Amino acid sequence: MSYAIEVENLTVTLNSTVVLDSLSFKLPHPSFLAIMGPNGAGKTTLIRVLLGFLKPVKGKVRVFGIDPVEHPSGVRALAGYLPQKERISFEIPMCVKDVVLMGKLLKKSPPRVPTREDIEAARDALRAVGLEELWNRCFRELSGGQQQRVLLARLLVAEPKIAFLDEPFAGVDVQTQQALTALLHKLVRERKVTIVLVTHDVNPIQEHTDYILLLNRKAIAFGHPTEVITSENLSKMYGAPIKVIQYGQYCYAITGDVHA
Amino acid sequence: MVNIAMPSQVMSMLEPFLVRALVGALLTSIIAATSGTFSVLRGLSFLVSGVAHAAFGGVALGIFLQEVIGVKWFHPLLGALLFAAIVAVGAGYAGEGGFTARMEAAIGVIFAFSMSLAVLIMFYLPAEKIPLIWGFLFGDILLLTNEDLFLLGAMTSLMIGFTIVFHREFTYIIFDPETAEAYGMRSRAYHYLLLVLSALAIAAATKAVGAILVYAVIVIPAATSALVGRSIPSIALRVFLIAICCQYLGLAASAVFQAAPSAVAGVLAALIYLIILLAKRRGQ
Ligand SMILES: Nc1ncnc2c1ncn2[C@@H]1O[C@H](COP(=O)(O)OP(=O)(O)OP(=O)(O)O)[C@@H](O)[C@H]1O
Ligand SMILES: [Mg+2]
Repeated sequence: MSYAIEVENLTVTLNSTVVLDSLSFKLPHPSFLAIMGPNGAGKTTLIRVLLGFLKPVKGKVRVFGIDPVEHPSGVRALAGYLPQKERISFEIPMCVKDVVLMGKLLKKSPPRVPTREDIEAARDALRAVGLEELWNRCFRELSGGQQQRVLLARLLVAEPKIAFLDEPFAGVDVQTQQALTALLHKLVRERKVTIVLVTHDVNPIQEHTDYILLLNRKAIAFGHPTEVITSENLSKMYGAPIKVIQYGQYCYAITGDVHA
Repeated sequence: MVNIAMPSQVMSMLEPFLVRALVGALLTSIIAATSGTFSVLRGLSFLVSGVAHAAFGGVALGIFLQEVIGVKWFHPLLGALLFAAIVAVGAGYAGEGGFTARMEAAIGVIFAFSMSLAVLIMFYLPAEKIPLIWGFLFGDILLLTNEDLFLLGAMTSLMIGFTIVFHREFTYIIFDPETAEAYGMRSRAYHYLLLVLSALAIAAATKAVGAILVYAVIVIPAATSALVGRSIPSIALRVFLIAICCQYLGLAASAVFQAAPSAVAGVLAALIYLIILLAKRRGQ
């Protein structure tokens, strides 16, 4: 079996605190992985290691057999990335089309002039996220959820072999979350793309995922959603009792105020 | 600031100093449209005054090396460019990974260091050289020399050339440097390139209009346009238009009222900013 990601005994420290502690898992290719964990669990850090932005202090990391520490450009040539909101300057005035085209043009070398095909591909990507009519709009004047969808289009147009999405659904309504997850699911099945997606709410997307990693500095659990989403695992991860209810073959975490 | 333009000279539009002033205003407006736009969009308008004052320290050092130590080849302008580059690299280093607040702090540190250095150095300089240093703070566009114009032209051309080739890269590192890097772009290199180019251009503009008014001519038009712009090219174009109109009106006013042209330009630019801001707030 070929693996998209192999992580063995990975330990990362930032400012001499351990942020990821002896993490190990293997993700087959192509598959859909959701990473869940509380704030500060190390989810973003894990993605940053996989993209070669951070050096681990210990352990082995491979993305399609490539070591991101030694050959970041090798990994990045295959990767797509949608960073966590905080990393993007949303107030910079950009046209929606220029944001989407970024996904294509960044894979070229300067001066990165878009061809007709690039523009067509960008339009198709925007259509795929259901926002074709916003092509000429100003990105900073869109709603938060629309902006996230445009950023997803930017990722789609890059045609990555592995895509890292860091909380892409922050501020996206549940119905759209499901539609976009279905779209990502289709990419996994039809285009053989591996998806790594960080989310705080796995309920709306669970059925589309192949694997779930519960992370809180250490790996709490890794496996198929039906095995991983249990009251025990979730409680251990959040350090507070979490109830789940079963519906069909899946369990759903009950979050928010629950009255027994 | 003293306006040296005599009415008889102003009558003739072909006076060389006036031609130099017109060209100087054109070039500083281009620097405003490029360096100014990128700096303001990045939330780094402090870079402009930081570089201007650091360049002041550089000039002091240059004069000190020439006059006291005897390093004849070290032109004061070289000192200005060197210190501008130090600000850029220092800020860039502090802000790697997109930390604008840290960049501002680093600029502040180098700003303060350069000004202190200048004051220390002045103590050891012959008294007749001191005005040369202050002249850099209170530069006057009507006093531009051919040498100044050459430097300004060279830095403007560099800035235009690199912006034409790398405008996308510059936009990407301002908008979303991490994604750019994740897709294989060398964000770090462009981060430094943009900062150093901007700083050098700002240093050259400082020589033309002075450290205090360079802020008015470069930052205010950019801050104004950023309020209403919908894309970076449209903002840059508007910055250019505001900067050049204000400066040419300033030059015209200086001919008629004997006022300092850059000061008039600064007042006009500030008024335009205020009007646009009020209009924008009312529209919300
Ligand atoms: N640049 C940094 N320097 C020092 N510590 C950092 C840095 N970035 C993150 N950390 C620390 O590393 C830990 C993990 O951070 P990380 O961003 O990976 O968390 P996360 O799981 O993505 O959280 P969130 O859900 O809030 O996005 C946190 O405790 C954080 O304080
Ligand atoms: Mg995170």
